[in-house]
Amino acid sequence: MTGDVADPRVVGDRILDGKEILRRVVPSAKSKAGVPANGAFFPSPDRRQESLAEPAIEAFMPGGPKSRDNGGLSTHREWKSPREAYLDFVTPDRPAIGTWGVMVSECEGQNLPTYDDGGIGERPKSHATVWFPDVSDQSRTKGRRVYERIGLELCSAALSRECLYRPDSEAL
Amino acid sequence: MQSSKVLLSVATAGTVMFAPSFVAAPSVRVEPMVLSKSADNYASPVTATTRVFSVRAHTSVGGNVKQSPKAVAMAKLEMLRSLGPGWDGPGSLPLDDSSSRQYLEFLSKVMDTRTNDAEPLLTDEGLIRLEWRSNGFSYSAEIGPDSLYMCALAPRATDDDDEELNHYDLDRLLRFFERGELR
Repeated sequence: MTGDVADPRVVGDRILDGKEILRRVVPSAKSKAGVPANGAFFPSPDRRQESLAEPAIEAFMPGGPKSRDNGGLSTHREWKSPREAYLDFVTPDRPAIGTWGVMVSECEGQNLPTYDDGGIGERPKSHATVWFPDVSDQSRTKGRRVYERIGLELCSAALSRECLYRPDSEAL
Repeated sequence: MQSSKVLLSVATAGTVMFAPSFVAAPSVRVEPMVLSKSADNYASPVTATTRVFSVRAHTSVGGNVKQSPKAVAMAKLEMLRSLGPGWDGPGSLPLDDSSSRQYLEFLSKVMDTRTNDAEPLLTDEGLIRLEWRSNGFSYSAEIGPDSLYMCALAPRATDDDDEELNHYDLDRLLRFFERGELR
């Protein structure tokens, strides 16, 4: 089954259970004092305009001028334990501080549909994507500001239910 | 035993070496990094010991251990520098050298009382990002090699505002950081 035909970015099946808590692993580099930052809860903003000299992220985006994740925030389905989600992500070259959760209804409340796209392409079987709005028709800063606001809301929601898994207890 | 090994590794990796004069010889304590994965998933042991999850730096003053915010920020920057391509999955870029240098210049001008707000984060594009909160606002800034993005999220979303420059401007960043002024 394909996703929302109005949004060509989307694949997979829409997640309908609003109470499901999706798992989001937070990289160490997107945390402050061991707490996730807003930046851990939104995908790379659109990098369309070439007038601003920035790293060539477009080089990592075959088939289009948008950012590599194309407005999708990677998470895992609830059936994946927070610990497993963490261990699947982390390597010595990909440090992370732990796993937090965002509820499907919280995403829907921000007008963000969530899709199970596990096993499609190179995505792991438990993968789910939270689709941020396509802001390609908006000005660069306006679209970016939208992502910042959503990131703040999702981060606040995740922090309100506290961390689902931290490696501390088994670390040393 | 393992924590001692980590401590030595990070100390010799240059955390202190890169510290500017305002950092009073911090000792660095690195917190959890050990993973329960099979050994064949790891890089060499030397590499593994330089990868950290969180870093706290402390200075010793008169026998009491006192945290130095700027030492913490420097240690965090070193951690970010240690990350290679793919640190946040495919396509994520390592820290840009220019962004790193401009952050250091910025940090040197930040008052001690605000240094906690200046802890560096890393974007998938390899840029330094800052986030802090004040008076109900959530602020963020991204330092590019030739760009500066500043965003102020207000208590009411309709009052959100941001500004993006196609050049880096330290004075503008400091004004935004110190007084919340976007323009």
